[in-house]
Amino acid sequence: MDEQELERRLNELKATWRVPGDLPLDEMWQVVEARAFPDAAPRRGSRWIRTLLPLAAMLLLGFGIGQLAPALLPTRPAADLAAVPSGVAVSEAKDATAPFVGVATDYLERVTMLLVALADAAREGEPPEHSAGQARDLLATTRLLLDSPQAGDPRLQTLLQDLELVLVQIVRLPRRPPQPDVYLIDQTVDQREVLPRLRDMLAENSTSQP
Amino acid sequence: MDDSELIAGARAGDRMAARRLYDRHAPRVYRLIYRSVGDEELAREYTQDTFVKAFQRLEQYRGESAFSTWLHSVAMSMLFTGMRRLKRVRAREFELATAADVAAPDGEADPHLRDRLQAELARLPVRLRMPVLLHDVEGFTHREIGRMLDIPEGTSKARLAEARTRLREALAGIVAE
Repeated sequence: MDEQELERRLNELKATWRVPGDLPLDEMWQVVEARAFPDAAPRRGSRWIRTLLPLAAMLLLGFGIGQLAPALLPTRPAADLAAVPSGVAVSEAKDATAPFVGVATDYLERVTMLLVALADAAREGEPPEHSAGQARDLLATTRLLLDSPQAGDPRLQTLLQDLELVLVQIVRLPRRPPQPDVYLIDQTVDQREVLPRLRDMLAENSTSQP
Repeated sequence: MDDSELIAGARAGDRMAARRLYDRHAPRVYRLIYRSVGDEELAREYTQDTFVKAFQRLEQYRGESAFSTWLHSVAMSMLFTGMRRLKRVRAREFELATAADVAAPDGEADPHLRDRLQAELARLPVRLRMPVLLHDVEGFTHREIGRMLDIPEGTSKARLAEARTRLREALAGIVAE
């Protein structure tokens, strides 16, 4: 096959290779608008979920994951904390542990509630009552944490990676998911002991509060 | 209204202008990403990520290239970030055998040249596959590709040449039959 023939064949792929189906532009725009312009009045869904989770992610990055679990992570100098919000003195970060832990605890509680609801649904053979939008927001927060240079503790990394795996599968569930799919996700949670690890971390957070 | 007017409107907080920009460019961005990953849901997710990032950083677009070129460079960045995450997730999903292979299925002998070409294209490493996809399939110039992938124009040409060589070698057996 010469160069011209190959080029011709490749050009033909435009019409035949991985031709996408109809794009739900309106539905996708609602997601884009909510995330890109968060001060807009929400068209549907819970406003406090859409505002609180990005705030949780910002605070977590701003104060450093080291504030979340000081018993788990190596001590880092305050100057090393990444993306400290403007106007917040570095020395204030330590004094701001209480609200920070509260926000992080909120994130862990949400994930726990979602997984408990999924486990209940799997056990009872009922379709889970979950919000794909909530799962997607939690997934975004999880990924922000994973990409944070402060999240270096192996125990925390492993937990976040397992949460990412589970949340990806939950996000992909259709509105009325088949029971085997729900069961499989619950098995993932069970095999990796995600819920006990989440509860341990929540317990540590509660004792670390002043 | 052309892109520059819509961009000015979006920067000023005009939500309708932002929506028009999105409507105008989303289909092509989505098509490019979908051809890269082969998964509709992933492609929608990355497309959304692209536009969120683009609107958040709209002040960084200085008009040195076409808006579509800049937007596609944002798309490539989100795509590569997403694919790195996907590789991490998929490595763990493999244990449960729940992952679907986004590459073309292998193993079966396929006498049709077009089908084999598609399969071989999907098997190319990303750094070689993207220039083929962007140049030969989507029709971007090497200059545009350079901006999208943040590589020199010459590198785009070299990678395309290498990709085409590999494809010709892979297809040599079928063509000879």
